[in-house]
Amino acid sequence: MSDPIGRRLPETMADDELASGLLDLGRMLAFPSIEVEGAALDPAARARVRLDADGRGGAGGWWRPRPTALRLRRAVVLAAVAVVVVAAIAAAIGLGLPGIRIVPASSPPPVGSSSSPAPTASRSIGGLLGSGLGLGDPIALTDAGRAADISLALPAAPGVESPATAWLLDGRLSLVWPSGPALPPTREPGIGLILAEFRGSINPGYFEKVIEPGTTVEPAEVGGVTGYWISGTPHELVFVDPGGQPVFDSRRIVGDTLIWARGGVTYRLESGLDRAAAIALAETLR
Amino acid sequence: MAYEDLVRRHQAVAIRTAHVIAPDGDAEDAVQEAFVKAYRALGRFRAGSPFRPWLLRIVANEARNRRRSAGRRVGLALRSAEDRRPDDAAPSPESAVLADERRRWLLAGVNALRDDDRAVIAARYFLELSEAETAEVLGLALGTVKSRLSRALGRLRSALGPTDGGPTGE
Repeated sequence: MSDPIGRRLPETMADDELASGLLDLGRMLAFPSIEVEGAALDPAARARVRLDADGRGGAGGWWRPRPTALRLRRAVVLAAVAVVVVAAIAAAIGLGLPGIRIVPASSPPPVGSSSSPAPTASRSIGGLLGSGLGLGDPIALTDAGRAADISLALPAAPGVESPATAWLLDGRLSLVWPSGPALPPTREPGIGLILAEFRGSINPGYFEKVIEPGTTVEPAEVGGVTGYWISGTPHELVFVDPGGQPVFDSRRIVGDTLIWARGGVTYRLESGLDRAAAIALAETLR
Repeated sequence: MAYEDLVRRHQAVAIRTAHVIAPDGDAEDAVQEAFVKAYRALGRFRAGSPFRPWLLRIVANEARNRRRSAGRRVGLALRSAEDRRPDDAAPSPESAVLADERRRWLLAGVNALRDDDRAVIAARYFLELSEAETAEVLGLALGTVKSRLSRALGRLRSALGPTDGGPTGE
């Protein structure tokens, strides 16, 4: 009665009935479970251990983070980041932008997955625009350029005033503007623009974007230099600082992104603007 | 994104992929080996293309290679009653029995298929991959996936004849 396949002769079974029966069957199949008990490692961890044992993770490798500066967990993550970064060197040339590498689409972890807690966003912490986004520590705008070791550049477009807040994380500066008539809202309520400026992109630094399905990446010219316009699903960024240390930037992405590099400084402009408007705004940076 | 974390995101579907390709093999071992091989092949990964099917193709190849050396053919199996989640429960004991009977009948038909027929059905319905992903994972052209799937379903229908002991409602 409630059994469409079982009540019919196979010859009369419709394709969609067979398909739904197979889907149901697939969900009831026995699959090997990943057993991680005691000191046992899952296949991903065992693969990493084997790769480390191949000598890529040996002591003194250039990708090793400074042990005094980072906890062990961080060290493991960064060593593995370097894995992909190594592969990036060759590919960077082909992409036409020194130092930028666009890589793997990957499925985001399921929402609510216990193994990968989402960053806990709390916009209102401290009442500062951009707090809770993982941008780092607040810093006075007047100190920002010096702290990031860059010559601070600000957009000079009508309706875009000084940034409301500035943040610093590991030498990466993020400036935050509220949304308004000139800056449409982003995914993050109240925020219209985040402009990140930091050193370390061209030589020997390079970037890596871990692109999720649904994200598109297109070359975009900003004031005569080639950059990328990254739109769609949020993405993550990995880069290597001038000291050769890979840095995993896990902060939340709030909008479509224009990224370009000039004079050893990388700029990342995230906003609710469309591509043309984002490029126009980027070209006003002074 | 660390490589280990990146592949761990796909670990569960990788294990399932290895298992449907070679139910008699050690799926975890195949997946571990495939993760190592994928790392070494990262330089050949085409920038901007989807990572999951690329990785699963390496997993499927690894599982297939192991199957060839394994000998006796083993089929897929249903989860045992104690392994089922509470939300798998059917509305009544009677319908649970009917549903189980149907699944066993269908599974016997799938297990009787040739390896390549079973693989394309497994990719689409058991791993729930898209046709494009199935093509990439099995190393086939998209058109070949469509025609092979259609043929495999046809053969499955034939294999599900009422004389095979399946529940026909007669």
